[in-house]
Amino acid sequence: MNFTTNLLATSVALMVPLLLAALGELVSERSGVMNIGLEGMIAAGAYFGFTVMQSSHSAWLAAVVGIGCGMAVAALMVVVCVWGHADQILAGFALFILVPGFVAYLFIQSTSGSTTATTTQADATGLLPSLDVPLLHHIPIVGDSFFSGNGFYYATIVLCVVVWFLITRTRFGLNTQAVGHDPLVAESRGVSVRRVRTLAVLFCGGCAGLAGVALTVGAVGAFTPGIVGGRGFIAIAIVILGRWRIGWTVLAALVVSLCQALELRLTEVAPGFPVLLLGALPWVVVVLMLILGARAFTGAPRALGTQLTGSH
Amino acid sequence: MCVAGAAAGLAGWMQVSGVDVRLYPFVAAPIGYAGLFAALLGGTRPLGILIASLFFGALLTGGDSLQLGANVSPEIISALVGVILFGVAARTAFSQRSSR
Repeated sequence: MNFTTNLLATSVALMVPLLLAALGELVSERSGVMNIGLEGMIAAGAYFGFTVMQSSHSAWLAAVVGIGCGMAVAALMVVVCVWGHADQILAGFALFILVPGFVAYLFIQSTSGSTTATTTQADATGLLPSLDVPLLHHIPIVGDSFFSGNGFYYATIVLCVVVWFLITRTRFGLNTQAVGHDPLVAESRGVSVRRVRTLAVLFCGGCAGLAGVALTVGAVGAFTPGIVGGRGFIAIAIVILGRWRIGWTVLAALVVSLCQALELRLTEVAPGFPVLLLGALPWVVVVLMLILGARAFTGAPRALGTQLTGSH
Repeated sequence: MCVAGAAAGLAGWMQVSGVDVRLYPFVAAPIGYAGLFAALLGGTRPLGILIASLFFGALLTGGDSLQLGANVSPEIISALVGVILFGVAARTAFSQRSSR
């Protein structure tokens, strides 16, 4: 019983940064931009958000700076891939290695060789206070995990609703989908492909920056150079698993983080279980989806990863 | 794809039996990505890839002695590699546009 409660609480804590990044990636991919550089945007938010948290002790300011830094990295992607004709995969991979390396360098130089630092806050854990939903958080097993969490958890829930509304209920969302499926047709109907993709990628950068802050300031309370640790790629896998739909993406994020939580916690009750295999499980599912093919990709934007055409 | 897998497997075998002489988790950590970047930078031409791999090999090995020689942490190397790749991406972006 106690194990289940702990497991769910760990899953939800791990889910927050993943889901934030995945929501951003979802919007970017729906507009047709395959944003491999997500990892770099998370790393920028994680480092600069953490630095601001250390000096100002304001989580709000840290979140704002994190979002700004994520958007700044996204702006680089926008300049070469949306305004220019760069290969999205190549530019994305460049950001994937550039930004985490750069922040690791800044961090190690600023701490003169030490590879870890924590937020020096008043409370012992160095983490943000947990906010409980009245009454609901007393529900056994699920109450502690789903109705209790720090501000980043609630921000994630709000953002899920916002992204759902934005994509399915607004003109901008419909334009985004149109651009993702067929930029030429969208352009000929008077939609500015460049404008829509710019906004979508910037939104993705903001979400990824916030995910980084949620990771260092919200979940861990510390920064280490490798802290992002491939979460950008996991978020991209979550979007694929969720078949580019919001609801399924949330579910996929929960399942992936449940696997990660099991990896951390299963040794408590079942020593000897090969827990590292659980970390590979989401990727096995993605590969299976790729093999099983077409039906899994009915929700995929048809122009995903293609360069902007026809706007000049 | 089969040839690619075979070549990557060969690289793994060389790393374990020739370079490190031991097997450990994440043995492929730097080589896999560096190989990908070499292929991208080399523009998928064999000679270009040869030059790019040599260049990356020098950068990655040189990064380790950077700490000793100049007291600069080796993480700057991955930032440098990123800048180079981003430059390549940006160059193709705007050269295509100007040729129109």
